Amino acid sequence: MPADPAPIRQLFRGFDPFDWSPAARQAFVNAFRTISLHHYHANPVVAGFWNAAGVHPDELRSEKDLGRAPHLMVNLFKENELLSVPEEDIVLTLCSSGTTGQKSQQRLDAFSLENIEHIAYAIHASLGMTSELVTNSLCFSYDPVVAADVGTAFSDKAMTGLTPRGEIHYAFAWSEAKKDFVFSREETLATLVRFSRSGRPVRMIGFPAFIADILQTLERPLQLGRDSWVLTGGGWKGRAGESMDKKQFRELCARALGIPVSNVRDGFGMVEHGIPYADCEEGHLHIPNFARVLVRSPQDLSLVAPGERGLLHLLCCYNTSYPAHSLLTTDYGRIRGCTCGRSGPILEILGRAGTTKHKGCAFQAARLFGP
Amino acid sequence: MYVFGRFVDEPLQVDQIPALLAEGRERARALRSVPVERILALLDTLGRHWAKWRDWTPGLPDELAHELRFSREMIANTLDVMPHILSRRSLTARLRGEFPNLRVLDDFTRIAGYEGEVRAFPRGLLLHVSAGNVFVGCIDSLLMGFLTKNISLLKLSQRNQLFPERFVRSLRELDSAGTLADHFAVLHWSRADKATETAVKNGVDTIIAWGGEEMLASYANQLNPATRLVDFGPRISFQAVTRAGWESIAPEDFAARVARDVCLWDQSACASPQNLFLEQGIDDKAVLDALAAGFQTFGLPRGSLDDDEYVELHKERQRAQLSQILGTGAIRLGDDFLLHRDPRPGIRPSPLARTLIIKRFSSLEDLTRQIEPWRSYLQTCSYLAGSDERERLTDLLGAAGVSRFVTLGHVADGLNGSPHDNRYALRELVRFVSDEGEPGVLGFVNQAIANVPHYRVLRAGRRVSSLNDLPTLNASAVANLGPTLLSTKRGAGRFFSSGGTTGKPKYSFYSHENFTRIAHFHGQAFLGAGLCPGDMVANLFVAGGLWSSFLAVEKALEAAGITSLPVGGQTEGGVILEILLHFQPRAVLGIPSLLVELAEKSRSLARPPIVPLVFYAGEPLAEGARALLRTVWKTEAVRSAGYASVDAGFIGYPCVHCTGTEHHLAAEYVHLEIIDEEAVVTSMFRPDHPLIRYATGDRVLLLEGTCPCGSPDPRFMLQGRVDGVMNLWGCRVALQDFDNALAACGLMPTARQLVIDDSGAQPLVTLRLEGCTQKADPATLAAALIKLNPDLRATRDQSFLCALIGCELVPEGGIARLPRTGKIRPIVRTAEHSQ
Repeated sequence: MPADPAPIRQLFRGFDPFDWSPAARQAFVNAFRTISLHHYHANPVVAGFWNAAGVHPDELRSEKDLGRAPHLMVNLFKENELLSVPEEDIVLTLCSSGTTGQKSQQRLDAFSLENIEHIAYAIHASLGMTSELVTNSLCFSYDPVVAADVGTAFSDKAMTGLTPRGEIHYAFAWSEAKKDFVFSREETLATLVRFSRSGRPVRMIGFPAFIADILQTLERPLQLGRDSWVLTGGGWKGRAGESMDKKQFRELCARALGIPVSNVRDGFGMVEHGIPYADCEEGHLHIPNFARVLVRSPQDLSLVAPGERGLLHLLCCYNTSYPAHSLLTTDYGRIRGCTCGRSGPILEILGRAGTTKHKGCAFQAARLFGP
Repeated sequence: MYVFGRFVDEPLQVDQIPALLAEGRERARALRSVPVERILALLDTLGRHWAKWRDWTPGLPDELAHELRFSREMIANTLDVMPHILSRRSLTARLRGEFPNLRVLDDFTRIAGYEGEVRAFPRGLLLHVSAGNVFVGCIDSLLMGFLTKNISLLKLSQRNQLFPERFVRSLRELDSAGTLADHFAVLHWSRADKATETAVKNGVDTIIAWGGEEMLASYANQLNPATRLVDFGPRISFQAVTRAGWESIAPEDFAARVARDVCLWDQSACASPQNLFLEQGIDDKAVLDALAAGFQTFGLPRGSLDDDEYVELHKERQRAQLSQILGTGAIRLGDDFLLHRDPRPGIRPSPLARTLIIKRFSSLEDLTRQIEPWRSYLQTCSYLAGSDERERLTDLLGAAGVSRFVTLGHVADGLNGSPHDNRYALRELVRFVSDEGEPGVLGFVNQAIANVPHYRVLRAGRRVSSLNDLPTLNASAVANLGPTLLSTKRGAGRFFSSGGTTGKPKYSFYSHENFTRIAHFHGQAFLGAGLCPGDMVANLFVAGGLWSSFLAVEKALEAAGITSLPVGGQTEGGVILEILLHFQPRAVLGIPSLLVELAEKSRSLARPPIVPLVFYAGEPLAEGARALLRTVWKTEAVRSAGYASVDAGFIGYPCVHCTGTEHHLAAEYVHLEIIDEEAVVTSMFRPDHPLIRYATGDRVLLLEGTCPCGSPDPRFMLQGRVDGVMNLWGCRVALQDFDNALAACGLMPTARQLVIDDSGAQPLVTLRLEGCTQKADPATLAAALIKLNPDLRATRDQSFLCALIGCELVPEGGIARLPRTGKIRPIVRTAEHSQ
């Protein structure tokens, strides 16, 4: 915990996630300075990067100063253990294997865990995605008990925890015979139909491609009603690798399940960063005031003009254990405004940077051997 | 798009592919019949044209820079490589690396070590799937198609379209006859267009593909079993520098070499090093400082990068910064390069664009362990090591998977003829077809009837069923028939003089291939006669003058792995002895008269050379000469160097059990008939100048029983000449020469007999004369002989000869007659060691 955690608590407890008033913004700046000072003093690696950039955290006093914050790039976290607290302080490690086989992780001490749990709920609540109704969930993910994938389990817990939990079904069940996870379309479909008759709201959670696959096989539309939701995440590639159209997907869900289009929401998150970005009713990923998304030129890492495409540089201030508070990602995106009525910018994800699609040789080989 | 000589604007449609492939197959026959020499000449001309690209397309680097993203300077530098790639010298070297005999590409041809004939036929339709990294790569691949006479379909990479188009235009303009220009196509289709890919890949005979694993897997997937995929997949290269290597050159030189390896083509070639391994003990800071200066001053600027490439660079930069912060590594960052001294062991791919990841190794074994996990991806190791480390380095790293070693700084130089990624690619683009022909001597003869004008005319093209269907051939017939005895299918070779004392000059042709074949056989014969690989031998046969022995022995020694001292018999005797004393060879080879002279000369030395083995040829070695060698040179064994003549070729060889003039017949290649005691041979060593049933003029006697050496080759003994021509005093002297000399001295004997005494160092000749009242004066007789015989005239003087000849007057009938015929034996040797 930082010497004085008050600015951090002040931000999370004193403001709505989507409150972008000057006071709220300044609260973020103060919290970010606080967390940066903490890591600067607790972690020589952070101090090294900041010193190399010639910036001291204490210099971050206003919104415009945030752009001066040096970053650590996401690959460093995949390749190194960069804790800012003693190992014994860690109470939860979240990790997931990415598409390239590199392990993403997040290390949380008690203070950080408490913060992120609050943040996640607060963001979804503010976006109208929480409910007091007991809800059945159909998760298109690996059964966390078998997969031992803490990241997924945490994410599932967070998403199914937006309502009082009813029955939860995991679509990827472990097959002892095949020694692999198996997606059974028939069983999933049967579960969905059974849930639809349970009298409880239903939430379908997971990869859009698999959800679309199930919905396209429904013999006739269901009528799950306005308390049921579809919550997606994980990217917009179809099962055959083709791009999916988000608008068409939302319409498909609404039609097939008998739910409002506004109840189909996508989310974006990075394990290392932790802040969830969720769609508003109009289907746009809203950036909460609990984070900042800076967009930088891939060429020289300078800040680009609003609306321009660039590399996403994510700032947050809840995590005292893991120095990913100023994280340069390898994702392209841009920020712009939204018409849903909330203040603050929205985030558009425009794909993953990487040379594997262009280069032959070593880059492809590297995938086999890791970093 | 370019299709068999025509530029086509419309993109390739899948329904056009069958017609395209059919046209390619139609054109294959014409290309197959083009001699490789013409292809080389055409490409060489094209190379000279490209040598002047600045004159006819000065703006090309600017145009290409839009597409390729290399800097203009880098592109210009690469264009300057074109004349070299296309040069006859370079292409020939490349071909020779894979086809020692280039004729194999044009025709059925004999190749060394094989008794039949072989031809390398093109495989047919060849699809090139080119990579986009180094833009001349696709042309290099196309050249492989030309050289092997395949009909090439070159599929271009999306990122490299303009340069191939320019290249094709230049070829089209220069090749107005369409020799090559009408026999290839340049195509493009998108990688997502699987229909086109499938139609093309399953319609061709071979695919040569350069690129990433995904692309290669796509072409390999469901490939027609009849189509061969020659795939060159992803590779990674590295540099290795030992402490001794680092200390052997100046830091600036070291840095310049590293930078050259890395920076050319912005590190995008498969041979471009991505990691530099330094041996423990080399000062990091000194290396990094030197490298930073070397990279900064590298002459060609880096090209442009796309966003993704920049992101990869940022990632590596962060890693390097982290290493520096942790104190375990270091970073040097320039305008267009990044050096990361990375503490982690093992190969790690670089983001390229002049990013070098520098690693440590503690020993060559440690380096081997670090690279081994990448075994199937390793390509070039560019190294700098101490001279005594090189062998171990290449042994260990080669076994660990490295497929190419170069000295630091020479990654891009590429030696012509080197295998690529462990393979000889040109060979994979042809089908080797053998014609085993008709075996044995009759097959040889029938082949001669097909290929040699004299025999074709003689037989009117009809085959023989027996060797007796052809007459024997003597030396004068060979002289008269001249070039009509040469095969029309012969390759390059050598002419040797095979006579002159018999009147008309006579020459024998040995194609290089035939000569090499003899050399291999002869080399094995030397090994069976007491020499061992690694021995040192002085070759004292006379070189030059169209004489064959010196060269034949050189080639045979080479084939046997024996070290030669090519002294040459014409060298002054004192110099020869100095050489023998200096090198102390285990054996010498030469003609007896020279050997005797040298041995005599050695007597005056305080410590004469020791020569354990002596091989002789060309004339008999007298018993007295053998004794002299044993005494003066401490020679343990004296053997024939082989029984051969320039006309007949190599005929027989001695083993360690052969004595005197005994030889084994080289029966695998030589068919021997004995007609009236004379050896009549048909040598199958020489199909390019075949002498069928050649009467050697040598009397031979077949020996019965098996030789203790175990060779199944029959043995025979040489018994002198049938025509009275003798080898005396290092010269060929005819009996007729003595008769003419006597006449010149005014003597007209009624009968005469030559008595040759071989017991001394030099043969002693006595002329027994019947019907004369006076002897000839030896000096006068010697002078007359020298005047009459060109060999003697060239090599001997009167004083030498007059001590070795004399006359003996005998009464009529004093010379013994043969009981059966009553004839006089014209020549009698008192010692029977003769040849």
